[in-house]
Amino acid sequence: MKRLFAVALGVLTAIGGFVDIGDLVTNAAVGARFGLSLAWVVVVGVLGICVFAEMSGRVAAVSGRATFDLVRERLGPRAGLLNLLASMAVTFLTMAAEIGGVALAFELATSVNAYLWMPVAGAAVWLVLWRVKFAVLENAFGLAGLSLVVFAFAVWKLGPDWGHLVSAALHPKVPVTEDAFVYAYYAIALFGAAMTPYEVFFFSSGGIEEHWDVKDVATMRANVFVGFPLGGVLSLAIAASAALVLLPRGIEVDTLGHVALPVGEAVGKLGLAFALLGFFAATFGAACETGLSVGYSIAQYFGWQWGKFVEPLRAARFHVVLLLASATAVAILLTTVDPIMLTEYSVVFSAVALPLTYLPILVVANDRTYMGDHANGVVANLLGSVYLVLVVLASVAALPLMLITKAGQ
Amino acid sequence: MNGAADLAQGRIPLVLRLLDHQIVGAEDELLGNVDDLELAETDRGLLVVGLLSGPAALAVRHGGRSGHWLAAIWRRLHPDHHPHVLSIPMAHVTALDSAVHVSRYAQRVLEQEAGLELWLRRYVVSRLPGARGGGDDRQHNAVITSRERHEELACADDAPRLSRLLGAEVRTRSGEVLGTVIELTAEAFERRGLELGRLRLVEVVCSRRHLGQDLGYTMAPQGPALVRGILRRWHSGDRRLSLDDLVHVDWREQTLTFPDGVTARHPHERLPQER
Repeated sequence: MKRLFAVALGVLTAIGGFVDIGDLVTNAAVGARFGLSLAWVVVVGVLGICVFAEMSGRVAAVSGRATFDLVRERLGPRAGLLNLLASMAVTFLTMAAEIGGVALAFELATSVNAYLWMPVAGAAVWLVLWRVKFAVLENAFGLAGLSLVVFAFAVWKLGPDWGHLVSAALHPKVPVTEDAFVYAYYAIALFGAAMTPYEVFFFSSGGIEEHWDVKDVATMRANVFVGFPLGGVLSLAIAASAALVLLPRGIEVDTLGHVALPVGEAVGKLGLAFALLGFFAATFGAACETGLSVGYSIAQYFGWQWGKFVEPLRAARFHVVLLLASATAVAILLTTVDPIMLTEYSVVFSAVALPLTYLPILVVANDRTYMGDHANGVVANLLGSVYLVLVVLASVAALPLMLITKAGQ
Repeated sequence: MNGAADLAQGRIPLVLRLLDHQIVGAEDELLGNVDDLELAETDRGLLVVGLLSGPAALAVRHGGRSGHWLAAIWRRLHPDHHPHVLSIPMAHVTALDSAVHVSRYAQRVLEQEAGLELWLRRYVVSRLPGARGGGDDRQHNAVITSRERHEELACADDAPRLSRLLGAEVRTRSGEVLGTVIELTAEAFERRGLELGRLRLVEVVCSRRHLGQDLGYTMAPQGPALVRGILRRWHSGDRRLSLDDLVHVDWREQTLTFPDGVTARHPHERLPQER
């Protein structure tokens, strides 16, 4: 019974925790411009994150080593440092975008300008990282994030022509009004949003925070293979709601308010309240996850004590990194950069940084000296190899496409 | 702590299994990474005698300008006039799995010499409300807050280090270049009871390719066919040589000289008695 509860809780938090500001904005933007013709990318991306999250979780459970430990161990200090700088630049950018998202959610709820909320949101994120226990942090925001289910409810309430919707998703083609390059650019953005590297940094280090061992591999797998795909369904629901309400009216997604618009239209005020709670939980939870990922990765590269499983005084360097990251993220936001634009850039740069993270994981998950019988099987290796090719292609294509399309304009 | 096997059996690939690994204490405290290894030239051959950890050792591995800066900052901020790098003797290494486990003494030394951690602990983190507690802490011993010197463990500035061998040129007497060093293997020869003890270097692997480390596929082929195939092709010119044949090491010039016609095999090729 206790075990069943643990699995259920894990799955629910995985669903609610799957969506972050990148998924919210990119899915809504894509739905509003391309309908469901890019839904296949979400499916591909979600399967990809499942494959690599499972691998990194399994390595963490069996060998006790988190992802950046392995990056340093396999790439050495020089290549490892380059990897660290690139991955942390992207993760940090994402963290700033998430804190911006929290502020935008508050702005929607209170009509107080988002820039006033940003320092408050940043301070709140740091306070949670400083004081709140890991399990509480993970579960509370994951469960609250479930209120994004209101998007699925909204799609149902809008009563679409389901056959038409499914056929649009199954027969993807570039809309006549759009350029093929722009279509490809948004495909990569969606792929980057679904597979952001911080998710595996956080997932594997989180496994060590929770003292996983070989016995926990089955629970971890259930979380990944049930929770993440259902989280992906939420992403698709956001895209579908935008396709149903925003696309016909030619509204492009420039603000978080636009993302919530279809819910307001279909479900009304109460729905909007749920959507706002969902935005807050998803962005706040992800801000904590990205912040921790920055701290985890830097500490793991240098071998410092990290983690919330020890009291802060024992991991002083780790906690100073968290403090500096929270403060700097707010400083970046206060340059009055648009958080939505920051999000769009962060998902594309995520796509660029993908191979840096996923290659070492694939390599170590095959190391039989570490992994014994838990090393990758044929399926994991086949999928891992296919995705390795995909992430390399996405990584190479991302920046040229960004330049050609002027970031999707 | 985990299911990883004891890796100290047989030949240990040092770059793959020791260098850059996490050092952990008795209760899984994270104490630093193995940033370099101290070597000694003895009549039994080259031995690994100590683990080097910390910014000064890492700076040497980085090399170039970033390494220079890292070392300079470390020297400037260190309380000693001529700071030394610490070397944890191999007799204090108790186990080798996915991490390097050290004795309680070594743990205390590493904690008392972690300057940045202690400074931040004292002047930043302990001044924030709630610095104690708040973790899911299972460790009950006192937190070390003051620095203590351990001159007894100083590594001589001119002591040979593993990082000097990595990237060194392997050549024969007549000047034929076989490649540069990418991996060395060693075996524990004085292991008794709890301690791993010093390791004797046995073989060197050199490669004609310069692409960092090859992700741990040097000694044995494994992994998905795609990655294995690419790496195998890339490293088809790798050669494994026994250090018994070694004629001379020039630490300054970073060259290893072997006799002409020395036996050099691909690392994956095993002799019948090694199977």
